[in-house]
Amino acid sequence: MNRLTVMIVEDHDATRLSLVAKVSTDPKLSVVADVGTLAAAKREFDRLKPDVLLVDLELPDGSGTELIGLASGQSQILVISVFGDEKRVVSAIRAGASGYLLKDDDAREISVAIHQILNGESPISPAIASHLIAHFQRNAASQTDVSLSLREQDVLMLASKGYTYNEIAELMNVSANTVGTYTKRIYTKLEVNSKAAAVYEAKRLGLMDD
Amino acid sequence: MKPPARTRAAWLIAIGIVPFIILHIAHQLDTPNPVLDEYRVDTMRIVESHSPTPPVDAQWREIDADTYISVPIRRENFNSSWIAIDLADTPRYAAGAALYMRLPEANVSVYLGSRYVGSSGRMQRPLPFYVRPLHFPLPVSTGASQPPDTLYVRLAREGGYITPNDLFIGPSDTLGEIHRTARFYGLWLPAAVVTIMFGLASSLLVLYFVGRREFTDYGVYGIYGVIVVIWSINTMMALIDHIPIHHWTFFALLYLSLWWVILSPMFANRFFRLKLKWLERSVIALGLVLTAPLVLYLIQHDIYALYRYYAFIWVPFILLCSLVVFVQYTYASWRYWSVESIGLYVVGIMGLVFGIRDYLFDFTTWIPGTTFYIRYVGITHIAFINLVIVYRYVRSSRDLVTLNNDLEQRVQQKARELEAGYEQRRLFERERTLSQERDRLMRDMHDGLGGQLIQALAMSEKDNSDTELKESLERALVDLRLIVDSIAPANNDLISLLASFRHRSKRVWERSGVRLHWDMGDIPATSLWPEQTLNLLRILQEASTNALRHGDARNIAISTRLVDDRIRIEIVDDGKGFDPESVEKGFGLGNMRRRADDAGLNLGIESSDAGTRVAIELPVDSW
Repeated sequence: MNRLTVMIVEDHDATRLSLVAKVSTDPKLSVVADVGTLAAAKREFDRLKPDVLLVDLELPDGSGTELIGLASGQSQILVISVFGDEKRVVSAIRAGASGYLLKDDDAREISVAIHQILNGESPISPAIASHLIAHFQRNAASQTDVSLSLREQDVLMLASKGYTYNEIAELMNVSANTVGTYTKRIYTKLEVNSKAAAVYEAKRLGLMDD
Repeated sequence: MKPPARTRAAWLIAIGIVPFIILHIAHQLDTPNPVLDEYRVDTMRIVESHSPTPPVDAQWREIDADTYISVPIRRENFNSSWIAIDLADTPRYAAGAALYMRLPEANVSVYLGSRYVGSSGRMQRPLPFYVRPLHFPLPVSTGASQPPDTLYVRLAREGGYITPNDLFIGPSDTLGEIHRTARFYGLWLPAAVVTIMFGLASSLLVLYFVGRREFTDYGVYGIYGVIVVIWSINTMMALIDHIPIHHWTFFALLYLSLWWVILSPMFANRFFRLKLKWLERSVIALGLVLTAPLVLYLIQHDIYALYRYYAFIWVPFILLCSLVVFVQYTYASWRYWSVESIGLYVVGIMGLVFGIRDYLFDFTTWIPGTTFYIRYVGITHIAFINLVIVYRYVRSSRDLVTLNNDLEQRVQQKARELEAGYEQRRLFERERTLSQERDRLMRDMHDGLGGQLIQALAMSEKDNSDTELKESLERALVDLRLIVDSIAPANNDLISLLASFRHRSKRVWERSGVRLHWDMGDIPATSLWPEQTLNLLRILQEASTNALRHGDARNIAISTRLVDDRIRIEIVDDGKGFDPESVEKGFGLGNMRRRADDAGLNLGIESSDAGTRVAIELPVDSW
């Protein structure tokens, strides 16, 4: 069967090797490259065009965000992080990532997360949900940004209070799948807004034609 | 509030009748003292003469009290007539008698025979329109056996007419009494009132000059002050006795001081804010136009023209002005329906009615009564306005106090709002500081401590033997994350904190197989210091670890609720419980209590074989 290709970018050797091992336990996934620098990552990405990218943002020779920008059209991207802190994650998502992983997640968790984003789902933590609520509220009056629907706001609110997808589904009287769809839409809006904002900025700076 | 239009109209008409009633009553009361009737001199002789002493040998003419004698106004000289009264024919003449003249309107000089008795006014340059009652006690005739002399009375004036029915001879006491009464009411009382008015008007003028730059309203005080001053002059003209002024000056002052009426529309306009600027301007313009001939005649000393002008043009114009003022007061009453406006409406009607009455009284014989009434209207008008102005001043002072209080309250309110604003800013600053701290820590630790721990964890995973090491490292990592969470801004929100705690411990929960019930009830926002937050998290960790590890629980419920004024966090499990008193270490109860104390939280632990309940309480405003 065709296994999905995964590339891992992480500069701490033991951690990287651990991740490689964990991903490899999933028969549906195949690690095609693991690198420790941004330069190597770009090279390997161009060469291999993997389906999934796991990127650490803190690389010795640059920020993983650059890679996200390059790869987001092509691959599904997960940011790997020590704390999963919301600021970092949300800005990665705005750059084009689909979710995040903690560096010490076990194999099952990693596999689940990868399959989730391949399915188009978007995992969300309470902190990220809070952050997103604040973000969308801040930009509510903006001309360029799309705002959240009431249901989407409800999902974020419940997620920020610590409820799981299943619990949210129960509280909102929908299926767990629907909740997943909502979060995906939220992320899309975030990315769209981010892209729209970038375009707006670019136009404003005269970098693009109208 | 104003009553409907019809009611107002009805009231104004009803009130408007009052001056006529007053006039009627006044006419009833204002009859010559009947006492005087028996002392009236009925027959006398008259001759025109400028002789300073009685012209005994002149061509006398017989007249009686009912004869109406009109004396033409002379241009170059004044008029002088002598009246001769034969005391032998006068029944009331006796020792101790006196001559009483009610309103001679002339300068008078009296001789008994050839003896000079007394005079009033000036014989050389007579004071015109010198109206005041006179009383001359008559000396006893020389020679007891001699027949009584003739009484000679000289009347000197510019012109006009002579009232022979104005002479009375009778007992000096009686007539003296009547005279004093007449002088009091006719002269002294008005003089006193005028003086007081003058004083008040002066103070108002001072008020105007002091306040005119700050208060545009104060213009009305200026105008009013000027009006009263001029009015005082006008009224005072009637009281001149021995002030030696030139008679043309007298005329000028007398006529021109009627300008107080011409200025009144201006006053009424401002007093009631009627904004009828065109009205006051046209009245004043017309006044100026009509004053010009007056001034001309005065300069030319044309008494004849002056008098005619006064009678037919000037006084009617003044009456027209009082009509204008009356209309303004009526309009103001209609619009405002206030005590002030209605009061002035009454005065306005009185002024109009009495003014016309006095005009007719002066120039015709159709009107009964003995004196001019307009003087009293003037006094009433000005007294009323004085009252109103004082009342307005008092009221505005009171308003000022109220305004001050109001302002002070608002200032206090603003101060409170500002304080709240500062408080908010302080909170915001603190959040920002915490956020920056956290970011800094995370940046430091991401590759530093955190990264190293993960490396160590990864290395320990390679070697599957040492699970204890692995778990130890995992716990260390969770712990590190909790610490970082404790300074997470996250709205300083308790629920966000619990949510993060749950999320961080996800793996532990899942591995345990215990069912977690999560119930975050609505609680108000709190603001905890990082150390409180950390302590709280540690307590939660300890409590949940106990439930998961020692209790054999199937279900654990974590909830938040608002109970009275406190926020209550509960961790309830259905395990086998423990004895809080006799428990050994491993449950970390001592630590929990210590942490609760440090953070200022209330900790309650109940445990039985049905389960355990750990309750943490904190007051709503725990900062």
